[in-house]
Amino acid sequence: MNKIKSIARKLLGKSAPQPFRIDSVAQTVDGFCIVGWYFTNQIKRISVLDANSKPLASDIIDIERDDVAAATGQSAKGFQITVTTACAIDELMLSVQREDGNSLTSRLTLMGDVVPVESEKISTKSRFSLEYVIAVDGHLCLIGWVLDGGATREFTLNTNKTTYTEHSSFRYTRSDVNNAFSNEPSVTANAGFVLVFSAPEFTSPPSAKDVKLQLTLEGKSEVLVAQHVFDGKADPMTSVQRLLNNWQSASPSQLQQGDIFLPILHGIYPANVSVDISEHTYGEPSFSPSVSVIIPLYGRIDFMRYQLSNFGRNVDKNTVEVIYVLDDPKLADEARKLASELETITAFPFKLIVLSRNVGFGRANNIGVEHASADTLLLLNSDILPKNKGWIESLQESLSKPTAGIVGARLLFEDDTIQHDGMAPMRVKEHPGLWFNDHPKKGWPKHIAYTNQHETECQLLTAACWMLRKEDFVAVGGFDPVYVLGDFEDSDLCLKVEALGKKNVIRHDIELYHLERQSQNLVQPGRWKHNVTVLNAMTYNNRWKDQLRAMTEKV
Amino acid sequence: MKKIVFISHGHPELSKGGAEVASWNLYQLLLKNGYDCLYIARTDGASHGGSTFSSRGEEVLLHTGMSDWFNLSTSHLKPLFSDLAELLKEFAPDVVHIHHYAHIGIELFPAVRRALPNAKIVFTIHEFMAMCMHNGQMVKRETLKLCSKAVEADCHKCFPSHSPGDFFLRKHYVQDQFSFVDDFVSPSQFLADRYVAWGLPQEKVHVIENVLPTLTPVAPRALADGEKRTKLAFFGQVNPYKGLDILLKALTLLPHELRSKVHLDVHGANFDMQTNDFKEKVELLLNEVEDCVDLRGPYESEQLSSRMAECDWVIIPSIWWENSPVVIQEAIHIGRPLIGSNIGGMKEKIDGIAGITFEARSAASLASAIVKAVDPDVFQYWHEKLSNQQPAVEQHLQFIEALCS
Repeated sequence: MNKIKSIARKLLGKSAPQPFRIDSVAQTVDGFCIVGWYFTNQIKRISVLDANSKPLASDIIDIERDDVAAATGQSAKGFQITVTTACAIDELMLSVQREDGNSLTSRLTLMGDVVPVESEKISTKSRFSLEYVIAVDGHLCLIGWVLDGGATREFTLNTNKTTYTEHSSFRYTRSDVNNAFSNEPSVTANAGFVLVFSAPEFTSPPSAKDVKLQLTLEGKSEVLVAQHVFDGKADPMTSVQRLLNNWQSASPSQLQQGDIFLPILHGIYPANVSVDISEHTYGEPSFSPSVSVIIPLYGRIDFMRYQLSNFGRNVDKNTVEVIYVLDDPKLADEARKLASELETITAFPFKLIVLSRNVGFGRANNIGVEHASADTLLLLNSDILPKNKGWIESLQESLSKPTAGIVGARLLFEDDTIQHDGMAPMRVKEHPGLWFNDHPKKGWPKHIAYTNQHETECQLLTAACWMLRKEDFVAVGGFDPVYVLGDFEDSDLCLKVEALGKKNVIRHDIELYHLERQSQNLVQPGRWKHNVTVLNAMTYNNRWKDQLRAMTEKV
Repeated sequence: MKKIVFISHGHPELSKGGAEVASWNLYQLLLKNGYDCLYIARTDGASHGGSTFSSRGEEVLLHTGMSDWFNLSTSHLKPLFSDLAELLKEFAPDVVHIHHYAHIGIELFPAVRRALPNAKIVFTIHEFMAMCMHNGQMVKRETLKLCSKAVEADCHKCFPSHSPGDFFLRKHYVQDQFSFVDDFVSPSQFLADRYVAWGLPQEKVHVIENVLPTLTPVAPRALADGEKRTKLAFFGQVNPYKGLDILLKALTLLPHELRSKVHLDVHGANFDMQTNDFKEKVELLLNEVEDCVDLRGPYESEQLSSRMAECDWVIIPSIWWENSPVVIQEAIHIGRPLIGSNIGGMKEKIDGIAGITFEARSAASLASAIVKAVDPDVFQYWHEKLSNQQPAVEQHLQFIEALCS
């Protein structure tokens, strides 16, 4: 019984999550902003240390974090620390003072996930403001406001060398401007502007004083000087937030103008960014496998443990090659340590490809495919667990028909309800005119979604589990990196494979568990993330709207 | 001569848990029956020169630890996959009898299988640790309500920092490692049924009671004229799951004339290690019944017979399910009927066999069971039913023989 008691203590101790967590680290104009939370019963205070371990002067704002308390059952306090510093982010440390007197430190790295990007306070002394410029790949995106009731459409950009008049523009109403000038409703309507100029001279970001915007207001020519210029590539997630946080994509008139953001978005997330790749082999993989399984890892690497352990029972290591692609460089050391432990524990051979930067789901898969030695690919998410033996062989049997394109499978949540049984296009009320991907029957108990057909044709399938020929994947160019941060690249590829004259099918009789959204944060992403999805949807719809309409008419 | 290796998570001389004692008794039985046995017990702390093994008498101590109590997993792989593997290969057993993975790591199973591809691996389950993160008790974490099924969404409610999906992964990981086991032994049908419902293959699970060293029956206490069977005893840990508080409360509810005659001896250990809340609760109750309760403290196994002989009834009021508490078997063999909670392993081992059950967690129900039990005729009825036979001895021997052939 002594044992049981000490087990109890250990269990309770171990089950406690990390006493603090960093949600985001973003670059500000003159330093950094760090957002996170800590358990108030364990942590006394937090601070930021510079390279010499000296505390930096900082502003700390407390934030209510009921979400953390609700998720963990412990009382927690949120923080937002802003520091002014010339240090680079990797020279700084977050220092956490524990209640027991010890302190912990944590390295910092830019992660713009959910940071509320600082918006400048509106000054009523001026009738206009060019708040900031995002510079990327010879494009300048200018964001600000002018009290002209949205009348001005012609803007002129003067740089040191050149005058630009060609631009695309987008005028919209901003609530912060409305509030600041509440007695002038006629000029505050549509006061906000987003302007995109193509300025090839700027291969790197200009300094703020060199960006002057000229416009005519009430018959008078005015010059607006940029307050800040941000390098769009420096911290992609924060840049996207600056770009998209104000865009009301649910407003039909604003939705139509979303195209203006695309060149900037694609500059922030370039498709061809170079990445260093290192490949590590654990155990002795099959010499000539018939199937290569590609599994991207992001956020959580512990899935490797569960999957490889499961594969030991449900996958034939003599004919199947498993390739993990770590798309999360900050986890590289941890992943390699776990991988070498799993080599011993599971005795299931596999490869781990480590990428030097985060390239997103689609490209991580494309890189994995380049390393695949089999002619047949099985693309799999890391949070999928097969239910029993024989599933790969069954998928292969469906793929053996010459007309077969992509073969998908039925995916289940942990409570045996449907997670995926084929996708279908769907309209969303908030975004008229766009088709999104729907998972029909999601959450249904299996017996209600019963079918006696083993295999049916299904045009759209989630890439969480796909089998297809490598030659088909390569023929369509792999996943298209135009879809930023992972949306629609799977349905896009489904339609490209169909365009090759192939038929995509789903096997309803092959079941795997899919613990969807296990790698997401405790907190909900902000509007900007939703806006990225909407922009991806626009790209997708521009390509495929006829096919998508035909699909729904058929149903 | 067939060879058997026992692997236990503790040496019974160092740690007196039910699993350690059960494995030890079986080890002694097989030694006596001519098997070549090696007992390997995991232990804490560093060894001489940092070696993975040391010895304690005839037994081998395995120095290792567990690093991940969520997955029941260890990252100390060398002690298992290299050191233990080499030792096992050298000894070359026919059967490996594993009695716990706690403090060792669930990877013990693949490590043994890898080292001995042809040996039979037997695992004896002792509680619900594999399916219940709450200390293997199947009792809700905050409310201490009984839990009858490990549903991922419910486990998440007990441990909000782990998602239902995490519990799903945990379960599958543990089951993957259990797939290396040839046969499971459960000392109670109740525990076996729970594990089969959870996912163990029915055909691999065998119900065989733990074996005990031979205990000589002791005649019932001689009664004075008109005296009743009022001497009660509690044996075991004093912790919130063992229900001593329910028993003390029940004493306060007894009718006045009985209360003045009844006496309870508490043979319990580790009371001082409990949380303050629990200690205060028990101390308050103890104050109320100090006239009829003696705290006798912990006991060694040699003292068991004499201490148990003093009482008429042994009471086991646990609020968790229990598996097959060794104190029930000991009471039966010494010849003392029991009053126990009507759930799980207690109900299975007492109802109709060895005494009276009461509504678990109800002090009032226990009080009325005591009122009934003090009647010498009721005692007599149950005392006559108690059997000193151990069918489990023969069952274990047959089981091992079948595995070896």
